[in-house]
Amino acid sequence: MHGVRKGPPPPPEKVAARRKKAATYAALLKHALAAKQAHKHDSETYAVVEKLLLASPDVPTLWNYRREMLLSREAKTDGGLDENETQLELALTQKCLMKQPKSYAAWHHRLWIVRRRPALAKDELALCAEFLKLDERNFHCWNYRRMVAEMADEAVEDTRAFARDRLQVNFSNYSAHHALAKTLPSQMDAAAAREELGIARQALFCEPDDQSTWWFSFDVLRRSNYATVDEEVAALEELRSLEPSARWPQMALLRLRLARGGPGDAEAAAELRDALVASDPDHAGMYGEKLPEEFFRASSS
Amino acid sequence: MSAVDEAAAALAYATLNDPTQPPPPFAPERHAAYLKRVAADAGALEYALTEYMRVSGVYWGLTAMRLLGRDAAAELGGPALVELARGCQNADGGFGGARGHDSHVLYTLSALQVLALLGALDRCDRAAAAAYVAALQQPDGSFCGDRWGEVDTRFSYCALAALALLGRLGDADVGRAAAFVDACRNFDGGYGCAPGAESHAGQVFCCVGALAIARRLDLVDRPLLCWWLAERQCDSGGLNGRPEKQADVCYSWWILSVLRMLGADHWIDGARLRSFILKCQDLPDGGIADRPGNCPDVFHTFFGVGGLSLLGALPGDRPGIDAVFALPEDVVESLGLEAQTVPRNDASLLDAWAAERRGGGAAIVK
Repeated sequence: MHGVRKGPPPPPEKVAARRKKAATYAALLKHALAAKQAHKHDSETYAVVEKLLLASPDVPTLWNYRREMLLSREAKTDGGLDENETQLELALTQKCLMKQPKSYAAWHHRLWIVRRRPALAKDELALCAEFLKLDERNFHCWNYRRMVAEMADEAVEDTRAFARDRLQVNFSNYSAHHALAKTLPSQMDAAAAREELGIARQALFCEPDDQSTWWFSFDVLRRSNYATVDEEVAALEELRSLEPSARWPQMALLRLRLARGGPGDAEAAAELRDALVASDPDHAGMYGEKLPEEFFRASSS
Repeated sequence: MSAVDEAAAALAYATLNDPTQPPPPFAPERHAAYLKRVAADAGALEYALTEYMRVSGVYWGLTAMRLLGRDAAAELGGPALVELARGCQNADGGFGGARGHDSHVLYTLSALQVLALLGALDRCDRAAAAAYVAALQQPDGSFCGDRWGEVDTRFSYCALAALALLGRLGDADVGRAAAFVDACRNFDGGYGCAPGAESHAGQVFCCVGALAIARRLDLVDRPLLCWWLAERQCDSGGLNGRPEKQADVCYSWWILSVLRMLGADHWIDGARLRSFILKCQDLPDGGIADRPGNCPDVFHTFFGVGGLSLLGALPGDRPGIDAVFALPEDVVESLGLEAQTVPRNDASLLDAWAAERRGGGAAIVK
């Protein structure tokens, strides 16, 4: 089980209570599945399904049953989900997600409801903001946010502002860097790259091994075709001199010097490679035996 | 617990989580006993709460048992498990997680894997299963998980693997399936659950696995992705699933399998990963947990044993695991399953970086 520390064996009365709970749950589940088979759509069954979902929101068949009941009512009234039903579903999924924020089934049910009432999409952005305060890396919620933002026609500036706001709270937030990267144009000019790299550098001078910021920086460099490579090399040499034991500035410098291939880059790259292999033997296979021949051929041509 | 017991437990926990300490030995007998025990304990709360994915649990248990070199069918009750898997097949041709549950591609794959492990694929309605899976494909090449419309790259893998097991891969539009997976590739070379979604090592397995079955590994940015995956190795030796997250045994499988498919499993330190997995063993009760000192479960036991198998760290004469199909190699061979893989090669990350400069023309980097 994810994240559950093993302790001493539980006392017998606790074991007995858990077994009793298991028997109750199994009996209720059996009852609900039989009712589903029989197409029973009464309010008593509806309540049982709700109780089961609150106990464990990951059971897809129970959400399917819930949707079958909603659709059959919809067919009778011919007017789509009414306001009251919609709010009940949103409240239930929210409770389930508070309990189990990584429940694929609960997130999908919520999306199913909102897709039938697209006007709700805008309000969902506020819910996502709250959930992402509780767990800034919940990829289910980020993915849900992406989908409801699309439904709500959120402007790209607003998507970017939301990601930046999350990074203000914690610049190590890889999910927010991913979301921010998705808003970048595929080709960036030197000025645009300089702006992004400047922000990233502030973070890297505080935390030189912050992977999240580094991966984002590599992406910006690629999108700008390394237009700012000279200033980056200079800045990273400074960072490296301040933080000689940090690994990522060395990786980045090695990358940049291999990309540039100017005077002195071969010697510097060879030295960086050797330093990395010595300090990070885990990745010896990744760095390879020596600086690639390919690089020297490309440099001299 | 007394104060002394508590202090002893805290010390044991700290020692287990100290990467400089050597790991305990591998305890296959205890893990086999654990797998038998949890499979039989139908009155446990964990058993009741996981009914919806029972057939997946059976697949994890059976496969782990086989990798441990045991006669899995004899020890876990082969005939009853064949009946259990068959009982999951619904009138629509798909399989639910247990009898009475609705069909879903996740459980359709698990059920077919169980039947394959027990040599009983012909005991289900294969044509109906293939038709169910193929019909989940959408015009953009993606797959829904079931009739309720959720799309996820996990389902792309499940669908292609299920069709391959059925010998009906041609029933899907494999080219389009690969194109959809490719649309989920991110700036780090990894893949998310849908286009635009963040990279996650579990999704990376599904996407690269799907591309391997589709024979389209040429779509993978090998150096970038393998670099990102290699950076998942933490100070503990274990692997995490995304940057800045804690290590977890399950990524031993999700990541190592992909590095194997791409011929780059030497980009991480296998010995330190092995040590981390061994520390996640529950000794003396058996089973493997997500992290040292935590409670074990069947899921992590399977992924831990699978990781050790890929590392070549399981002693004795036992089947290895196939990195693409996540089944023992002898099962994959007897079914004639084929997928594309990249042979292990010495091309390093630095080679790739240096080579990028050549074809660039005006651009320094392609």
